[in-house]
Order: sequence, then C-alpha cells, then structure tokens
Amino acid sequence: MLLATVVAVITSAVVANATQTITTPNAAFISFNLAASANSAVITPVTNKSVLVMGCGTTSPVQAVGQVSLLHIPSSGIQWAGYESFGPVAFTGNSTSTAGTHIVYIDSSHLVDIRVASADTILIHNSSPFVRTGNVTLVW
Amino acid sequence: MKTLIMPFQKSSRWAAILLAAVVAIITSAVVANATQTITTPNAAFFSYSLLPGADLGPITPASSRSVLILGCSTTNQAVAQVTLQRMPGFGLVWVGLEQNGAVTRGLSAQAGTHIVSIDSSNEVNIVTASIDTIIVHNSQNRTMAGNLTLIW
Repeated sequence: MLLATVVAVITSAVVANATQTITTPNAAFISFNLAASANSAVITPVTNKSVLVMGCGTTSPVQAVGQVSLLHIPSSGIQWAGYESFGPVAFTGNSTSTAGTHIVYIDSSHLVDIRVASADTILIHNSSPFVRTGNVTLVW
Repeated sequence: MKTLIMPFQKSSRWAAILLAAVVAIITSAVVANATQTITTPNAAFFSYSLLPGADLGPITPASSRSVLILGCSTTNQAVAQVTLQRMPGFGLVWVGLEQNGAVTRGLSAQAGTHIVSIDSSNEVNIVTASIDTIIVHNSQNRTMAGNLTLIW
C-alpha cells in the first residue's frame, strides 16, 4: 500500500507539468478572389494555441505557397514564425499588434500576402494591379 | 372564400421582398472576396520500407490548395517538411525545410526534381514523379523505413 502511494505521488509529480489530450484537429479553409489592392474579410485565429497557417496563390503564372506557425495573444497581438513563398524564399517572424504588418507572402511575385489586421485579426491583401485568387488553411 | 389583399398589404409584401433582396446582395458583396469554412482537416499517412533504389508512390496531393507534407525516416532518423501546391496541368510548387534545416524550394513540371530529404544521410528523398505526383525514393544501399503524412 505504501509502495503504491509512493508510486502514485511520484507519477503525479512527473506528469503534473505536462498534460496531454488527444483531439481531432480543426481546420478553417478560406478561399479568396481579390480585386487589385483589395483586402479579404478579417480572420480571427483561435487564441493561445499554435495555429498552422498555410496559404497559396492559384492565379497563373504566380502560383506559390507559404506558411507560418502563428500565435494569437488576445488583445495583445499576433506572433508568428515561418517562411515566405517560393522565389525568393526567406524566413518570416515577428510579434506585433500593428495593422498592416506583413506576415507571409503566398504568391511567387510577392504581391499577395497575409497581414496583421488588428491585435486580434489577420487578413489577405492583394497589392498587385490584377485580380488574384487562392486560399488559406488554418489548422489547430 | 376569396382572400382580399389590401393595397397596403401588397406594397408591404413587395417592400419586404425588396428589403430581403437588398440584404442578400449586400451580404454577397461583403463575403464574396473571402469565404471561410470550418472543417476537420484531411490527412493521408503512408508508411514505407524501401529496398535500395525503390520508390513509394506515386502520390497525388490535393490540387490548388496548400498541403503540408511531413516526412521522417525511422532508420537514419530525421524529419523534414514542406508546404506544397499541386497546380493541375502546370506542376508542383513548394517551400520548406530539409532535415538539416536548410531551406528547400522549387517549381517543377517534370519527374526527378528533388523536393526534400527526410533522412539524416540525405539518401531518402521526396522527389517529383510527374507534373502531378510525388514519390519517396531510397538512394541508400540498404532498406530504409519511415513514414509520410500529408495534411490539407
């Protein structure tokens, strides 16, 4: 009995600092068709969790993909790390609540990007002079 | 019995229909540039045990959307990942990280283009198999095992 108690106490001490829950992930799929200089509707990522944000431009000939892992800190800002779309590729990362801050490019001409829209939201912006289509997937 | 409709009732009904139409048009105009759908993500899991020179696949990723590809070797242990878009009739475009942390990126419409290495000796690679497909190729001189997960 004493041994069992000791084992239980030690086990509790070991697992107390990390609780694992197996869940089915969620995904949000957002398709866009943006006129020149247009913004999409704002997107509010789930808070206080890592969110994988993958975006792609599907307009030929500037198709590409980009991705970041993003953290929405409620009322405080958006933080992310990831890499820009094909050509030229670069890492991207920041933490800000400033609207308009670039997060990641998702077309190969680097004219369509995901941006900070507010301390709690992001949006897709088309800086090109043409209509651009594509989609963004959030997984968390 | 005949139902009588007063002129006021008629105009009220038309006004309601008109209002509903205006609301529908405004709503469409607002949401037309970004449609969001909440779903359970899709995943495809492939395990492999490849003889020297052998391939797994071909695998056809979902088209015209971002697909996260996570690959690992359980023999020469390592992991790597890329985000890839299959553009039907145009090819494959990707960006990601090699198992050694280097950036990998590319755009290809032909077979045999390196996408990413997923073992620590850079001998097990995901490569393009055609304009629409990928394979896992084992260039090692021994059997290599591991797995591949696609999420979209």
